[in-house]
Amino acid sequence: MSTTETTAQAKTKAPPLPETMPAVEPLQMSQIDMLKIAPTRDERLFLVLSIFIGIISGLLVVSFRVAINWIQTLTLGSAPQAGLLRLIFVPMIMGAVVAALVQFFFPAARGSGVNQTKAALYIYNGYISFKTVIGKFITSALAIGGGFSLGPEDPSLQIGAGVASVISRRLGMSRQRLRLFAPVGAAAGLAAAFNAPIAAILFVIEEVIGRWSAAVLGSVVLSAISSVVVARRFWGSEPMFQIPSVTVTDSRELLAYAVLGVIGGLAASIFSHALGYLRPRLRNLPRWTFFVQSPIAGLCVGLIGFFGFPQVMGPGYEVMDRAMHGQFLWTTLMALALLKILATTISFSSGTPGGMFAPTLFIGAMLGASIGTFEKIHFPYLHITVGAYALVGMGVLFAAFLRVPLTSVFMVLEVSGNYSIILPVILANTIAYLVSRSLQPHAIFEVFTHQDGLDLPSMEEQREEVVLHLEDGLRPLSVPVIDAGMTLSAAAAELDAKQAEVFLVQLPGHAWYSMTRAELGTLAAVSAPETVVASVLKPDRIPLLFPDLPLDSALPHLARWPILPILNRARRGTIEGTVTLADVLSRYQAT
Amino acid sequence: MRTIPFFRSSTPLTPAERLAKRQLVFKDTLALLSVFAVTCVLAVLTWLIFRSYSQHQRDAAARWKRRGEAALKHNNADAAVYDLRTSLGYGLGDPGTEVQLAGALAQAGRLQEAAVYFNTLWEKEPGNGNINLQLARLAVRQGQMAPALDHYHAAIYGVWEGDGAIRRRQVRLELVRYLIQQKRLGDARDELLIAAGNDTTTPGLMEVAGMLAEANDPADALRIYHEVAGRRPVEPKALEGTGQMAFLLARYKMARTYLDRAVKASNAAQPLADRALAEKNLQTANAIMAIYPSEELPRRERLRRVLHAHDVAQKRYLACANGTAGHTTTPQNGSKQIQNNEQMASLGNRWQSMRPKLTVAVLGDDAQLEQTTMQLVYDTEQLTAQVCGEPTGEDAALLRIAQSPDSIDR
Repeated sequence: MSTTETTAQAKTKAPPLPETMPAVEPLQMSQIDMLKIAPTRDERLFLVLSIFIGIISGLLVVSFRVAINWIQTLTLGSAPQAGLLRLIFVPMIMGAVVAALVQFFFPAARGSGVNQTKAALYIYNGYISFKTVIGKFITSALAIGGGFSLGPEDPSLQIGAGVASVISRRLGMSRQRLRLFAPVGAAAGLAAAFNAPIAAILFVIEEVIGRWSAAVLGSVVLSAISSVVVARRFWGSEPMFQIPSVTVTDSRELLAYAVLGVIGGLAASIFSHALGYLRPRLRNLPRWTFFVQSPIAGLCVGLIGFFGFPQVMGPGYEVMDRAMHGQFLWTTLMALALLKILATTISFSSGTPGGMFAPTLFIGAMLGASIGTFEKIHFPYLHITVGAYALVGMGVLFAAFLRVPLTSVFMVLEVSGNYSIILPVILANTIAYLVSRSLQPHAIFEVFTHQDGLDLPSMEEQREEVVLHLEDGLRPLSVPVIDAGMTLSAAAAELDAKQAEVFLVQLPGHAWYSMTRAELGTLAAVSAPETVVASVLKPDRIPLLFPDLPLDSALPHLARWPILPILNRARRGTIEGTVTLADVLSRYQAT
Repeated sequence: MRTIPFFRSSTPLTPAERLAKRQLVFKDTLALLSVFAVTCVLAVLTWLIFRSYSQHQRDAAARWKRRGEAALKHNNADAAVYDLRTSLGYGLGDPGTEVQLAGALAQAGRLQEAAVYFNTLWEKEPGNGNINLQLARLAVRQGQMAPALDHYHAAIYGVWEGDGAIRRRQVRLELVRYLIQQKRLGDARDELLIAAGNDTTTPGLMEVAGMLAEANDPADALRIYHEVAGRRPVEPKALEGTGQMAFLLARYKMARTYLDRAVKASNAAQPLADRALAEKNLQTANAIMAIYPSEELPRRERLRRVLHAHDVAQKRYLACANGTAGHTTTPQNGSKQIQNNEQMASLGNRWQSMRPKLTVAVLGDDAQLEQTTMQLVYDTEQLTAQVCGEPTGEDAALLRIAQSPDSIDR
């Protein structure tokens, strides 16, 4: 709702005033000082709306998942199996329908939804149109239900963000708040899709917001919890995957998980490179090809299904569950992992709406279960649980491919409800993350962002950044330090002797003051020579600065002070060194 | 507790600002109510959609499960695997279907898949009796005795739903059959004795007694058959079992009694397990009891039988010694033959040392002679059977008596 609409509505809905009172001319919206009449309105509405956004997102995500399953049943049949011709035709036809819908009606529905949400946050002031929400819902449901190797989580994230954007606009929230609503809704959508509120919150912080932000954290938590409560009302509170408790009794077993970490890191790198290679090439083809890319991708996926691996079609959660229950041979699992990489690369690069989360989990689960089954056969003394390996494999791919190491750990814990697995998860995820980073420096969503010509903040980039501290820019104390009890004449004499242009004054109580020789000369000219230095100083004092503080924390003070002492935290009377504006700038320029 | 107004204002407001504030409150209230209404409508719609979806899922899971079970009944394991898997896809985590699927995999010969599947189920429920039983069967099929025994025992002491006691007993008997197959008869007997204590009904005891006989434990089998045979109504098979076990234990008097009762009590409704064998053994028992000089007989009759046994054995010795027994001798090596010859020579000496004219009166006067005579009879029958082959007729009966002379009357 625009501001003019709001004012008009306010005019029409205003209650009539008593006749005895003088008529008050209503203020125009532009004339209202919101901070004066309702200083906390935005903040409180933000929290209340976060709950509503969570509930509505949860309901929409439940409907979205149901829609996908219905479409899958209606089009691919209740039990798709290799050799059925419909496995070839259905994805192709669905691809054609989805391509037409995207090209003619919902161009913003293209892609996974994560980068679009991030772009909405940082570029479009949190704006996601209602049409995009509808389009994402319909096209993603058709594509995923029609057998494309894509997942419902990323679209759910964008649907949640869209819901938040629509609601916040209707409430006439400030621009600053509008921007923050997108991650709030994104967390709600993802939390409902995953049934994992903590992982959703962390993912939104790690990937969507791209930095830790206390301003939005409360609302993100509220919306994520609300949506999960709604989702659990429908799907039940059972974790998505159930595996037995994992006890690592033999330390050699950790070595086996480390192997999984290495293989997962390699697989993530292959997956990432494949997408990074194919996606821009397909996007750069002539526009008319956008109408045929999805059908061709559907045909390719359908052929994989037709010729023996229908498991790679759709999100594949039931296949992951089967893998965890040891229903496949390790060779089959490995084949499924590789074919899923192929199918997802084709599906996603064609621009078909759908997410990467489920395929990532699928590939990870297959790899993990494959390695677990192999080790169980060949190293029976290790007491290996295949389900645990599949679960750790999910986390491994999540950490290595999406580059969200923190989210990956909590995601595994939440989807399994099993905290006994934490040690193998942390070990394998860390190894996979490091392997993947060494082979592919940029996270996949960052790659997509750059391919789309955008530049959005990323926590992965922040991790790479070298943060400078005061200790990096300080130089040893080389200016005179004068006691505040000295007389002006004595101080001037000392400065003359040392030929110093600036100096520090030490005051009682570890307070410090700095001034130039010229400033001292000015003071000396208007004061008696016996006057003590302390008595002529201005009342302000140098703020306490310590070596571990960021280098830029000195900048605001260098306009006032010619030199800043950097103090020891334990002994404030001890100066570790000093910084000047020239020191700070030269340190930044040297980076 | 201090309450903070929703629209807190620190400075006094002008009348226009107060009006604007009221309008803002009204507008926000209306907007929130709208959002609430939308949420309610969406919730109802979602609930309706989800209810229909859930019903479909349940129906599909049940339908595929029925198909799978039907396929299993028709021994179409491959189809059952497919159907049950599909059912599980609709009803994730249904433990019964999971076990059925794993069983179908095993039935389809996909043992490795089945083993992995069952192991995963076992990891979730290590105390589940059915899963342990299936794992035991898989191990049996894969020829892995140690894990098979472990899982059988875990199944016996595991958790069963509903008919736990019956299922545990069935598993124990299955274990016994496996142990018998593996020639671990001692272990089988131990399990059977426990099984006998767990089910004291007539069919239960009969089953255990039969398996005890298979496990080469006729004594315990006899005890159980005998117990059942004493029950009313009379179970002909229990009579038959008692008779047969008694026969095996050379308790021919008892065997004769019970086999006779069994043959007489059996009819079309209650046939014997092996009537021909029962009749043959009854005949043998009758023959033995007709010749056996039982302590329970009147003294004269007993001495007459001793005298008769003496005559029969003497003839047998002479026939064998002269090589005219009419039986083919078994091939023997040289040392064995020398040993037999020596034993025959020794036996001949004992026969020569016997009184030439043995009568009932002579036997009656010398109690020691009765014992010596019977011992000579028994030794003769055993040695001649060894040297000249299995005897027939009364010699065969005497040989049976010679093999366990003290148990005949028991």
